[in-house]
Parts: sequence; C-alpha cells; structure tokens
Amino acid sequence: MPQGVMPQGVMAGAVLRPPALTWNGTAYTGPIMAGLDVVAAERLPGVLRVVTLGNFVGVVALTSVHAQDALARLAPQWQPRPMPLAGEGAVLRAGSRTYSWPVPSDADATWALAWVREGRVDVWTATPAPAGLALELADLLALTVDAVRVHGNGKLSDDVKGGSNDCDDFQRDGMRHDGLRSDGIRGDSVRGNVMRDQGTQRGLGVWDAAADAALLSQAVGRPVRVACAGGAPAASTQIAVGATLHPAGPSRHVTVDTDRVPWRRPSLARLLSHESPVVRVGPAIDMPYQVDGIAIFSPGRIDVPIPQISTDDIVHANVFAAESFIDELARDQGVSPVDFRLARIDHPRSVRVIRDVARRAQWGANLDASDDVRRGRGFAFVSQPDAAGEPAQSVAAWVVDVAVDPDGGVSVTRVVAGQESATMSAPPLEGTPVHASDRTQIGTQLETRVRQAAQRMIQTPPTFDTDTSLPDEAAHLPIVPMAVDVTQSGPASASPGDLGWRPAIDAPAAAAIANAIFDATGVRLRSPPFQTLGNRRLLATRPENKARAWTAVLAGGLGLAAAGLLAASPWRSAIPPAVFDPGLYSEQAIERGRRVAAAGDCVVCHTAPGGVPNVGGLALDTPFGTIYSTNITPDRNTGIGAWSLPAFERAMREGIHRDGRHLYPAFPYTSFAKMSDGDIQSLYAYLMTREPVAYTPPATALAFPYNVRGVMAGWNTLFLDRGVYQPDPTQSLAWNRGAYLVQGAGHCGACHTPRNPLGAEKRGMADFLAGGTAEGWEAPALNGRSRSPLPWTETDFFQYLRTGYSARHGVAAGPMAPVVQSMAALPDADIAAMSTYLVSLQAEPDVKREVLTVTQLEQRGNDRADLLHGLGARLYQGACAVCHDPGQGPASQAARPSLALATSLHSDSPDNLLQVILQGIQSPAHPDLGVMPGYADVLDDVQIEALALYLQQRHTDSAAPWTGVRDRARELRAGHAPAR
Amino acid sequence: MTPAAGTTPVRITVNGAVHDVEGAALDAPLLYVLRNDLELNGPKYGCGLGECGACTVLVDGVAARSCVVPLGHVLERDITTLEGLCRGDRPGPVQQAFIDEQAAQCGYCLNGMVMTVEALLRRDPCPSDETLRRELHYNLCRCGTHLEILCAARLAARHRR
Repeated sequence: MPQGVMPQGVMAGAVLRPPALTWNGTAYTGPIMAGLDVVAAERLPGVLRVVTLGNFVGVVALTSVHAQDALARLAPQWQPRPMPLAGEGAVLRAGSRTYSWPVPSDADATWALAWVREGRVDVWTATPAPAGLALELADLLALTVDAVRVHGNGKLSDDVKGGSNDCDDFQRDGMRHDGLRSDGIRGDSVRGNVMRDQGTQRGLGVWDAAADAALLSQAVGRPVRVACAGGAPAASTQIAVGATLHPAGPSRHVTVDTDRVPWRRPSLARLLSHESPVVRVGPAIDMPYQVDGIAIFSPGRIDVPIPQISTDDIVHANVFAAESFIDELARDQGVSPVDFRLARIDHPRSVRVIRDVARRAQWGANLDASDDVRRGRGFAFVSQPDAAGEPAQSVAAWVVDVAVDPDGGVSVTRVVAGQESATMSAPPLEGTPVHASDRTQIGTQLETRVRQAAQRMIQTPPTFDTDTSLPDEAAHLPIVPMAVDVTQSGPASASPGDLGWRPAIDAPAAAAIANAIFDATGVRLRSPPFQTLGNRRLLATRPENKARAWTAVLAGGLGLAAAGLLAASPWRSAIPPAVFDPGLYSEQAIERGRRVAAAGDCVVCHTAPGGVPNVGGLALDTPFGTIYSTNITPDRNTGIGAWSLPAFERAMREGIHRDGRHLYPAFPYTSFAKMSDGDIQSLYAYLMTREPVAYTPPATALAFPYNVRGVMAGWNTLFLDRGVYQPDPTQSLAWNRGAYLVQGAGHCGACHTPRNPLGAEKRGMADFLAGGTAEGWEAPALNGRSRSPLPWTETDFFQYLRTGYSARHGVAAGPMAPVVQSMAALPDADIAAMSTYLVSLQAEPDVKREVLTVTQLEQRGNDRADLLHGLGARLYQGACAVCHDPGQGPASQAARPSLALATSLHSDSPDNLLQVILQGIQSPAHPDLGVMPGYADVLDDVQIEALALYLQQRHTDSAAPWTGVRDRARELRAGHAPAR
Repeated sequence: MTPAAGTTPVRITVNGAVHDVEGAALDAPLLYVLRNDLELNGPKYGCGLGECGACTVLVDGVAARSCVVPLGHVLERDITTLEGLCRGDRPGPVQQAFIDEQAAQCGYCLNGMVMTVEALLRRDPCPSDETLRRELHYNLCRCGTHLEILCAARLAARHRR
C-alpha cells in the first residue's frame, strides 16, 4: 500500500482503562480485570467485538459513538491486588518524604489508525518518533521491526513540523531506548543536544493510541482507528524517597530509595496485555551516595503511577526528590549539606566537581542580610551512570543563591554550576564540527541553559485565565538579572569539539533552589515550580503584616462603597465614541479572544435563527417580557464599532451600555464580571476585528415597571457581585481553570442555576447549578441535585461537553446543542478542566442508594415493558424503538441514546421530554450524532401524553407520575411556555 | 444559522460520482435530493420519520435512513444507493439473492431490506440468524414477506463467502 493512502472500511476502537494505572518499573501492578459484561456490549447494534487481553480491554465498533455505547455497558469489575507484604517496605518508608513534580497537560487531541494483516502492520499517526513507535509496536505484536510501517497522517502540528531538530532528537531517543532495552545495559542515559521538547509529552498520547489501535486491529483483522483525547489536565507526579537511619549502625548509615522509572515506558497496551515484566531498563539516575553504609535499593517493590511525563522530566523529578531529601537529612543533623555529601562519596570525579563548585561559590561564607529580603544558599548534585557501570560518567553540581521577598516572591541572584564528564560526546550542534573558536559560544549556550533551567523553576506558573494550549510566550523567557558562573571539564584527552553540555547540567536546578529557599526561610518546598499561589503563601511573611492587610481591606471597602453608589445610580455617563486601533492587539490576543468568545457562547444568543452571526435579534423569553439580543459586530452605528475598551469592559462587568443606559441581566454580566482583564481585552480585540454588519435588531420593550432601565441600578446593588474570579489555592490549576470558565465566561449558571422572583440567580453553593430553565427547556441540575440515574463522572462530563453525547446520560438537545457547538473551538484542556470542576460539585456517593449498571437499568425497562400495553407502548414501537430500543434495530450512523439513561425522564417536569418529542433535534451538537425528527405535526397532545407517561413508567421509579402532560404539551407546542 | 437555500451548489458524492446540487438547502432531507435532483429512485419515501426503513442508503458504508439525514451532514461522506450496488447492468450479490428467493411482494420496502443487509454483510460477513433478525427488526414490510427476506439475506451471506 502506498504511503499515505488510508484503508477503506476503518472501524472505530476505544479502550477501557483500569481505575488506577500503576507499575513497578517493569510490569503493570494495578487492579486486575475480574469480570466484564461482554454480551451486553456486543449485543449493541454496530459493535463488532469486545477485545480482552489480560487487563487490556477494548471495543471495536462502527463509529466512536457506538464504541462509547459499548464501553458504557461493559460494567467492569476490577479486583485490587493484594497489598505488598508489610515488613521491608514498612522499614523503608520509616524516614520517607514525598515530593511532587509538575506534569504538563497533553494538549493535542490526535488519533492513530492501525491495520494488522498478513504478518505486518501499517500505522498512520502523527508521532514525532516513528522509529521508537515502530520498535514498540514490534514488541507489542511480536513482529519484527521490518514488519512495522509508520506513516505520517498529515496531522503533525505546526511546532512539530517547524522543529525538525526535535523530531530528529525524538527519533534518536527512540533508537537509544531500543539499544538500552535489548542490551539490558543500565543507563546509557544521556540524550544528546535535546532541549526539553514538548514533543515528548505529545508523543505519549499518540504512543498509546497507536498501540491500542494495533492491538485491536490484530484481534479483529480490520483497520482500526483510535482517537486519543488531548487535554489530560495538568497534574503532578509523586516521587517518594525513602531512607532508613539504621539505629544499630553508625549514625550516618543511611539507606536511600527513590521510585525509579525507565527512560521511556512501554505503551499502556503492552503493559496491560502482558502479565510478565515487559521491560528491562536501568534507573534514570544514579544515587551516588554509596560509601559508609548508604545503599541503594533496586526498584520493584514500589508501585508508582505509570508516568505521562517526558524522559527529561523523569530524571529531573528524581534528582529533585533525591537531592532535596539528602539536604533535609543533612540539615536535620545540623551538618553542612556539602560536607554531608562529601563524606559519603568516594568517586573522584564527583568529589572534584563538588569541591570545585563549592569553592567558586564560596560555600559557607555569610550572605548579606537586609530587613526585608531573606537570603539563602542551596546545593544540589547529580550523577548520571554510564554504560560500563562506572558509578558516574557525567556529574554536575549547583550552588544557588536566592532572595525571598516578604510576599513570597523568589528570585535567583546567582548560580554557580559545574559539570564533568568522562566522555564529551554530545556537541551542542549535532553533526556540526565545533572548533576551538566556538568554545566561547559553547560556554554561552551552557550559561543560557543554566539560566533558563533556574528561571523555569521560579517563573510565575499558568493561572486560571491562562489558555495553556496557546503558543507559550513563557518559552521566550525574559533575561532577568542573575549571575551565572558555569564551568565544565572533561578528560584531558577530550578535544575541544567534544565539549558540550550534557543533560545533567540542568538537572540539579530545582533541588538547588528548593534547598536555598529552605536556607533562607526555613520553609521546605516539595513541589516546584516555586512561585505557585500555594508556594508563595508558604513563603510569604506579609499576611501577618497587618498594616498592609488593613490598607487592602480599607481600600477595597472604599472601592466597594464607591462602586455601590455608582451601581445604585440609575444614570450612568456615556463613554464617548472611540476608534478601534487594531495595531494594539497581537494575533495571539485575537486568537485568545476567539476562544473566550467560544467559551462564552456569544454567538448563541447574539444570532437570530437563520440570521447572520453576532448581529443580534434573537428573542429571549423572560418572565418579564421578551428581550432581543443586540448587534455585537463592530458596525459603528448599529453595533459596537464605536465602543472603547473601557466602554466594553463596563458593559461586561457592570451591564452598562456605552450610552450609559442599563442592560438587562439576560446579558449575563453578573457572570462576565468574574472574567480576568486579559480575557476581556482579548475578547474585545476579537470582536472588534470581525466583519462589521449594519443591522438593527428589534427593540426590547418590556412592560412597566421593567421598561424603566434605571431600576436595574437597584437590582445591581442587590445582585451584582463585582470582582474577578479568585482562585482557590487548595485546588488544582485545572480545577480553578474549570471553575473560572464555568462561573465566568461560560455563564453556565445563567441557565442551570435557579432564579429568585427578581430574576437573579440564587446565591449559595447549594443553589449554584442546582437546575434552572432556558427557552422552555429545563436546564438540569449539574451539582449534587442531579437526577441522572447514573452518577456523572469526569469522563462523562468531558464526553458530553466535547461531543454533545454521553453514552451514560444522553444527548445535548434544545439550547444546549448550540452551546456544545460553540465550545468546539475550545481546546480539550479547557473541556477537561470544566469536567474536573463540575465533578467536584457532585454529591458524595450515597452508600444506601443502589446504583444500577447501564445493562441493569435497560433490563429493568425491558422487563416492565412486557407488562405495559396500550397507546403509549404502540406509539413507542412505531416511532421510537427503531433508534432507541436497546439491542434491537439496524446499526446506523446516528447515536442510539438509551432512554433508560435519559435525565429528562427522571425529572419532576416532563418539559424536556415533551420538547424533544415535539421539536426533535434538528441541529445536533455534533453531526455524527444524527438528527431526530420532530413529532409535533405527527402526534397530537393525547398521543404525546400517552407516550411520555409510558416512557416514565417504563424507565423510572417515580412515585409521582407526571400530571397535566397534555396541557403542557399544548403550551410548549404553541411556543408559549411560562416556566413552572 | 442555516445558510439560505440555493446560494451555492452543494457538492455530494453518490455511488462514486460527484454531484453539484443547485438550489438545495443544507437542512433538506438527503432522500429528497437523491430522488428529486439526482433521479435516483431506489430509495423510497415511506414514513418520512426514519421509522420504516424504505429510504435506507449507505453513508460511508453504514446504513442511514435518508429521510432524516440532512444534506449538510453528508458533504464529506461517500453515499451509496441501491443503484450503486449494481455491477454494470447486472444486480449486485445481495440484490440477486433477493431475486433468487423471490423476496418481494409489493416491493416497496425492498430497497431498505437490501441496503440494510448489504451494510450488515460489509461489517459481519457471516451473521447469525439472530443478528439478521435484530438488524432487520425495524425495517417494516406490510406484505408479510419477512420469511422470504430472511432467506434472501442468508443466501446473500452464502454468496458473499
């Protein structure tokens, strides 16, 4: 088959992962697959096969929608493994500490297609490391490498294509990995001239998808495509370091054990489908402290999460944990950390480098102290093993000076680093001979690398309003004042061309800085980067600084009072017309604004049915009358073309038109007030750079007293919370990002939070997202009051928000479908963040309440259906069953939402069921879901009532059948549906 | 946000041929376009609600009830109608099996029966009797030739092997 030509008849694959993914460095150690309802899944129309191999579970089906339906019915039983024997492990843990290391999110959604046939496999995917993937697939399928062909699928993202060096490095890395594994040699650990490439993260998602596709294709003999969702929320990996101070031995007898993981983990498919160890790989770093009783245990007893992090990160995380831990031991004993190490190392090269760096840094000399700034000095060291088993091929040491200000701000004032290698075989520019005259250049590059490594640890990390999927401006770090002194030395025989940096050089950065921060403040930070909100709070001394706090409160109070007066004023001044200057905003700001607009679904309300986007005119039925949305294209006369940024921001935050009149809160400025300045500016830039369209939508004319817009001033005083979203430092970045999107731009509460008689969203966490109404539809509760028959999981939320369909809950219909369509412009990471947040609002599982499986719920409905006869049953058979009956009917392109799971049937109100029967779903959230015809012209109110009551009786335990369904159907049919 | 009908031709691929359909709205049912614009009368109009199956076509090889598939959803897809199963002037294997077993009475439902069986055999060449019944469960035949239709489906599977 010529490269790039995709096969026909591709099936969709999806996999089911164990609830906990752990391994011991050689084999999977997580829960064991103990039972699976294969029959229920394979009975679904469109499902070809359920594939189980050991703990690997996958489904092959016609489309990904069918595959998700099948996964939802598998009802897996995972059996926990017996706990490891207490004894030795317990001793080991006696003096242990746990450190965490940030793992960036896997931002790219991508896919892989594999076709295994006639003893070979073709794979189409966007891996930056085809060679490494080929080796992995050969191992997975027990084929020779020659039988594996990896084709690009033309979907390489731009930065991968642009950074050809990264791709090459990645390939080499894969090759080296193979050398490691087949030789069984521990630790040819040195990667060449590789900057920390994001490609490695991207690689892992593709790596797993390709292996899943290959394994599934091998099982069914058909080409199989597996999509891997990007946007696994940024997390951190835990690295435990254990030590035992042996009471019987000399006081310095210490045992150190870190979680060690190989250079590159195998694919999840290989780990899960093989019971026996699948890799033999040496440790990522060498623990050099071997003299006088410090011994190193091999890994194998400790189960660690299967890493989703790059090889560099694994090394850096381990060095950070080990070197922080050694520092803690030394300081606990009141010994200088440098002396503590020197006393336990006899390797000449290591001793030489440590002594040299300590001397140059004047270790032990006093630091200048001032009243405000606390200063400290820290040391860290790394040793990377070589192939021949010599303890240290490449060693590096750092001394860092830091200054910590009273607000917890950390700056690195000086770095002294040194490294030495037995062989210097990795010049900075691979393939380019380096001449003696380039030594200076090498030195500069080395210095830059050290500087960047230090800055990465202390830069301000992403916050809740950072769109992490946008090109990272932080990659171009500004130069900050920092004295850097780097030396390196090699063997006397090394020629100048052999000199270069080794990856070791920046590995000690995190630990050296953490150790210095401890020296300065007495606070031990165990999770870089060090300037997160939580870490800053730990380091700050200012909170006790009452004066400052009082000033803030006072200023805030005055501000609030002033704002309150302003808000209470029914007349606000007009903001003069302005001319938009597009030159003020970067392409990136406009792109960010596009995503903010998508998160805010602006276009959904500001577009009339069939009309031009964003020119307004959509009629919004409120209890107070009909409100028409306005033109938000940059037309000067009819749109917002004459709006300055301050005018736009005032409208977004306070609900005031540029001309000074109050806007009605149908425009959810009460939510938008939570948006950050950056997001509002980006949104402004985006909207102002769209095509202006002259159009005047119908005027909003409410009845008295609501037509007096000045009344809104009082309303705002009561109900408008000013203030940008404040992150919760006890929660993860993903959670905060999700909360920010849900509460702010996403304004989910506008529909999903109940309103008080004055039309304001009710306050208090119990009411937040507790269910509201929208355009004649019920907006179900998203919090603990959800009536869904199955509890919402994070995966459920992600699939529902991303595709408009959850196999365990149903489809997005009515006003929710366009919301999902609008959110298609958001990166997976944002959808995942919202899911993280929403799932945290769910009720604690009620142990008394029995949660049935999907299959049990459907079976219960089928059993009852046998007893239900009459008009409703007949209508169901004729109109609904072809697409909705579980297990019967043709496999079609469209989704087959199971009515046993539909939230609408479990509601107190029949509104959503009636709406969807009457209107159908004409514009589905995603084209793959298919259309549902509306029955308004086919069924009369009596028939619809019979059908609705039949479905409620069949699928729910409701003690109170709906009443007045016929009348409600008539109301909804007429389009006049006062909320009940 | 449906664009007004007829502003630009809509391009679809049917039975391997590319057609630019003039004056069609993206929310028009695919069935109307196939029958009225492309004069492909294999798919039949039955209930108009996706209930009876007479309008079945294949979209990317999968059965779809064309009376409830909007034109806008199949722009990048391969559509196959009953006409597309023919091999030259001769009926395709599934069609021939229906002829051999005399599975037609009035014949109105036969398009849907043939296309549904074709779709099934493409993904499962040896379906069990249960699978066949399940797949055809909601293809309605008012003449009562279900037994002959099942025989034809079994014969088609045998021919295919």
